[in-house]
Amino acid sequence: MIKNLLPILFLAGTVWLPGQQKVESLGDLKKLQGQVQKVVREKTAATVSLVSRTGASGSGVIVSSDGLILTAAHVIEGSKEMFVIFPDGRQERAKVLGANYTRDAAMAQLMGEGPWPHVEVGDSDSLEVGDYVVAMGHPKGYDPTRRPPVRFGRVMTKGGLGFVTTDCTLIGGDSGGPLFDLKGRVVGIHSHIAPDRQINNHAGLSGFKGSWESMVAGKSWGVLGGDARDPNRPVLGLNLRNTSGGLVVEEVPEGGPAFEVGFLPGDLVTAIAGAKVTQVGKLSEIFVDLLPGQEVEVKFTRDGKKLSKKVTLARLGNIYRNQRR
Amino acid sequence: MKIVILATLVCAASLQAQIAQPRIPVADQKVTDQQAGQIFKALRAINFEAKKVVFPIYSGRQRVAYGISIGENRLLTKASEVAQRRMIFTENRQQESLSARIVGIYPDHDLAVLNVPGLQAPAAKWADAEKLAEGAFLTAIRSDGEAVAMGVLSVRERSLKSTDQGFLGIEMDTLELESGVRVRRVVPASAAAEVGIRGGDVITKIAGEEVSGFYEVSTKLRRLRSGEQPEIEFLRAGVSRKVRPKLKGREIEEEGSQRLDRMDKMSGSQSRVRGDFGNVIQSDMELEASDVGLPVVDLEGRIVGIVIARAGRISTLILPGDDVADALAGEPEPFVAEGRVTRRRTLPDEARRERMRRMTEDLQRALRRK
Repeated sequence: MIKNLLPILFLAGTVWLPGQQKVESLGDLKKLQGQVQKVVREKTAATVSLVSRTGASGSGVIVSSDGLILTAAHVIEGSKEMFVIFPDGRQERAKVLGANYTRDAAMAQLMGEGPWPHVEVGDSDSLEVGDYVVAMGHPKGYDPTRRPPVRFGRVMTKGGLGFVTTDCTLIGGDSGGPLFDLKGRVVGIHSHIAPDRQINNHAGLSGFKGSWESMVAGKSWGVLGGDARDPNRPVLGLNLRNTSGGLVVEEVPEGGPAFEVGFLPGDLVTAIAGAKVTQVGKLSEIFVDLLPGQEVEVKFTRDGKKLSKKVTLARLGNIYRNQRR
Repeated sequence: MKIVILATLVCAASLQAQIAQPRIPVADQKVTDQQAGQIFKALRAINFEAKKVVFPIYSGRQRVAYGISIGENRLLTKASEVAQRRMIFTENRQQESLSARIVGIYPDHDLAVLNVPGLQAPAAKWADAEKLAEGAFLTAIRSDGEAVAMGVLSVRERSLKSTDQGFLGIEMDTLELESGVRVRRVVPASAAAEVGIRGGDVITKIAGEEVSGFYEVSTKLRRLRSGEQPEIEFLRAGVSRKVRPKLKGREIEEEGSQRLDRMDKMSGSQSRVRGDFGNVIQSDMELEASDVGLPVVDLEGRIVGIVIARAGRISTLILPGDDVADALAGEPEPFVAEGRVTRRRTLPDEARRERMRRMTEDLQRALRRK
């Protein structure tokens, strides 16, 4: 839903940003309406309600014909199994798989045979501010008198950890439900809101992709919104510092994985797990999808020489348990 | 900044995690504001009919609603927003105040008819909303022709009255999911009791379709209307039986959730009367409680309904145009003012308002000269 901001009508110029679909005439609006209606027609059947044994309920979306469901981590929290209710009232069971709590991302698997109605997975990295989107879900829980209510809006901004903010208004029970682009691909999963009706936050699908295999394998990790002190957080055992030349190793705690493979203070770290690194503050974007026990490649420079080492990530709590907190 | 995890109905207390809350950066806001400007500009192509029939309704200096002209110097508006107000008036296109008086109400729809001598506006042409598909664009047009908001049709026509929904009167185990659903207990004097369904029976089919699980059964039943007589098949001691109970209306109050109420409350104003409508469509149009009474227009420019309630963060309720036309075909009920709503001397107040307006105008003129 889009709010009319009258004063702006007269202040704004008419410059269009690339990528954004142009809506300048009634004809453009009708075309847009047709696209939204097509998404609703084709994607409603895959938008399900998930109900726990305690009666708590959220939403989810099926993304494969064999019944893989994407939802929010806080929806499946505490459940091993959930009821899946389809918009036509059909009731099925799903097994809860894994969750990346930091991203508020989770998966469940329908137990029945299939084939199930499902939607295509899109990506959220390519979303731009102003892109039109459609939200569906089961607000206030499953309601037999209606199908999932349709919400329409735009990408308002993009946040950290792959979260996307839209003005598609959401409320409790929507969490885990799908945000679609105009091609009907799921690009986000509803997560949380602010009092401002223009701030409705979705876990971006690109973020899901990084931890896809771990979630399918049933792993659960992370803390909602991220927590630097989470003892289960994966770490290299390298204390890094921002410098103009890059990330410099300041300290290599004894007994940590980086110490084991021979990192030294003064090494200049350039890439971790295939991603270039330039700022300490952005490292969480890489570690959010990793788990202790996973092996990652760390590229670095020592005395002008380019080197690389494989490091097995440790649990934060295991390395620093005897040190200052 | 306060944020709320969109969890679920029951378990959420522990989930109020502190996620870094994005604010919309100025640059992004500029892009989306400009985009909204373009959309609302494009919408002006459809506002011609609606803008002629909509009028603001004031009580004192506050706008409390809008009204839609139904001809013969009468406006239609939301009854519960104006019934308790004193001194209601509207403004014509020459910005002259015209006092309004409630002359009748349609209590089923929460609509009131106001008599406004001197209004001289054309009557709205109501269109039906039945053919609108989910996702259809809807807009609410005000007197100056601008759209107040644009949204989509979120939910098609339905009754919000639980008494309209089919109620069989069986208690089921919500955690079981086998083929068929075991009846735990039968509500006395219910439709189920009348046809002899008992605790321990297993419901296997409703209206010829197999059912399994509490949600499937309750969906099937609640999508039937009270008064309907679906065939119900059940197993008792291994023997299948068929009955045709006459469904009654649901008298059960849904349990509200304080968490959800909080989310609705933090997200703006809500109409006091916002439930129990016999037939409404739901939109995500972002309005306030004082925007009730606005005409709702589709992209063809047809007036497909009237905003009848702001019902929370995601919901604006709209009474379909054909339902309005049907109601208007019958006589409204006489309006009896409750409490202390009395006819004070209207003239001095009118005069005072007039003087205020002149003073404001003088001030503005003076400012402009500087």
